[in-house]
Amino acid sequence: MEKKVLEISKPRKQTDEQCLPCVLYTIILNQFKKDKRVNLKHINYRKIKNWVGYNPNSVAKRMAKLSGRDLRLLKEMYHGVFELDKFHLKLNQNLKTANIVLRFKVDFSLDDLKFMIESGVYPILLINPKYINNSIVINPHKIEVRGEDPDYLHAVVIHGFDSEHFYIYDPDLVYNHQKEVLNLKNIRVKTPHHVLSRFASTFLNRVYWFEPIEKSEKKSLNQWLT
Amino acid sequence: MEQELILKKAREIVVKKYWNGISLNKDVTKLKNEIEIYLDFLVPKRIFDQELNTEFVYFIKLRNVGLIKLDNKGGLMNYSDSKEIVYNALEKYKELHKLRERIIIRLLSSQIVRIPGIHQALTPLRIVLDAFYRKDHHADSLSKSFDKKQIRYIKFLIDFGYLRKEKDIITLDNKYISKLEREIGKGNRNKILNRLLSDVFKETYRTLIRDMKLTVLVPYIGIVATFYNIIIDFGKNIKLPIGYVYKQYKELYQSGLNEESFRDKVKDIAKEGILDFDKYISGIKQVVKVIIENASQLGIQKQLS
Repeated sequence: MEKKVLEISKPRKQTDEQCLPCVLYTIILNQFKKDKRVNLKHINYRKIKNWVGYNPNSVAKRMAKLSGRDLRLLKEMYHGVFELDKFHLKLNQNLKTANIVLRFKVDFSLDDLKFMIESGVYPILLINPKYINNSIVINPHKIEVRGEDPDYLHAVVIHGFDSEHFYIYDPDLVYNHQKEVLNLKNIRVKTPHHVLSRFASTFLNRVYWFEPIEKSEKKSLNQWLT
Repeated sequence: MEQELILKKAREIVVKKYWNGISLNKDVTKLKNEIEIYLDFLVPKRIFDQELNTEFVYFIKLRNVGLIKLDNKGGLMNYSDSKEIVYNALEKYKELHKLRERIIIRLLSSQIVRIPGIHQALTPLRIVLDAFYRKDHHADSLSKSFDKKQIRYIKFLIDFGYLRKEKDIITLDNKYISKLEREIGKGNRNKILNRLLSDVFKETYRTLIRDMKLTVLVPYIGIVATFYNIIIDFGKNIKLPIGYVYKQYKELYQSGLNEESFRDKVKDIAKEGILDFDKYISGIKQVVKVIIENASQLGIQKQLS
């Protein structure tokens, strides 16, 4: 039976709809912690958050003077905001010093995801959050996304698969951040192949992944994807 | 151009120009030389239901916060800049809350005016209504029967049409009083006065706060509106921790109320049967039903994605 799992240690739970920086930071640490080509010394969560533009204050700065109440409301409304087409650009500029780049491919297949995992690379998806309603989830409480399919993207990581399911690290779940490891014995989200296929094909329809710049210049994973 | 192709083009522009949460409004307007596609903005919200041990995620849809214009061949003619969208979304968010607050307060006004803090603040208004229900008063001799504060309320009631000046006499709107007497029964003076006070309150509470400086009303109105606003979002009754409702209240209302005072006010509100409060806050079954029905009839529920 086909089965492959990439471990994820210290998975973070997002706060304030910060799924994207949460996922990016966790994967950088996991994918490159033993990679000597990569320098993680100057990378922290706060920086990643700023580099992908997750900062309600930056939205507020676009506006003329706002009252205290308007500012509070604005921050509440713009927690989960990042620019769809541009977030990776500023991130990549800043990740150069670490020798990492975030790549993406449009119109990916499930085989692409499997291939990436087999190559030791974590596929990062911006997915329809309703996928969770149709997945097997182990969490202290149930999570349910209500209403019709929203035009709203939620960042998750695929960290394994078997013949029926993909295994997902979703920052919406509660984790024992310092001690927990997602591995074969601790799969928290199992999503059937057909469910992932449906909910991952959003209007953006991209798969993202990290690789060292050095490798990227020589032989990017991209050329092997279908 | 086919609808599907128009939306595809517009979607490409959304991805290039905007951010997560900007959603295409499917009502495309085709004009002679251009096509208009309006943009909505989704605000993610979360509620934790203690009873079901479930975290519910949902989205409030703020409609028409931006516009993309394409020519008939699908070329981009114009689009709203991000500043404009942020501004529109903020105002729509406030507008939506105000609209909901108005519905909630209108439906619950007869109970709200009985909350001791509100009842006390409305005493001068009640005295004035009582005096004019007993008899008409001469406009030139108001200061003989009323103090300065009460005279301000008389002017306020004239402005809103509850009191009418007929030559030199000031009188309550007789048609309205007759209607109340028919509905409630002429002998029930207290009930008629309560109804009168509640009707004035539900139509004018914002002016009472702003112009008559009754800021003491804000926390009570805010708590009731904040909680039932969540119920409208959720579409059914829910048990919520007081801290969660307090956090939501602080976001929506300018108030220095600390959590302890907030708790005391929630208890006062609960005593009048507006909501339930033991360890958690929950709605009263019948109230929840009426509010959801009214919100649904007014199309407010459609704001949910």
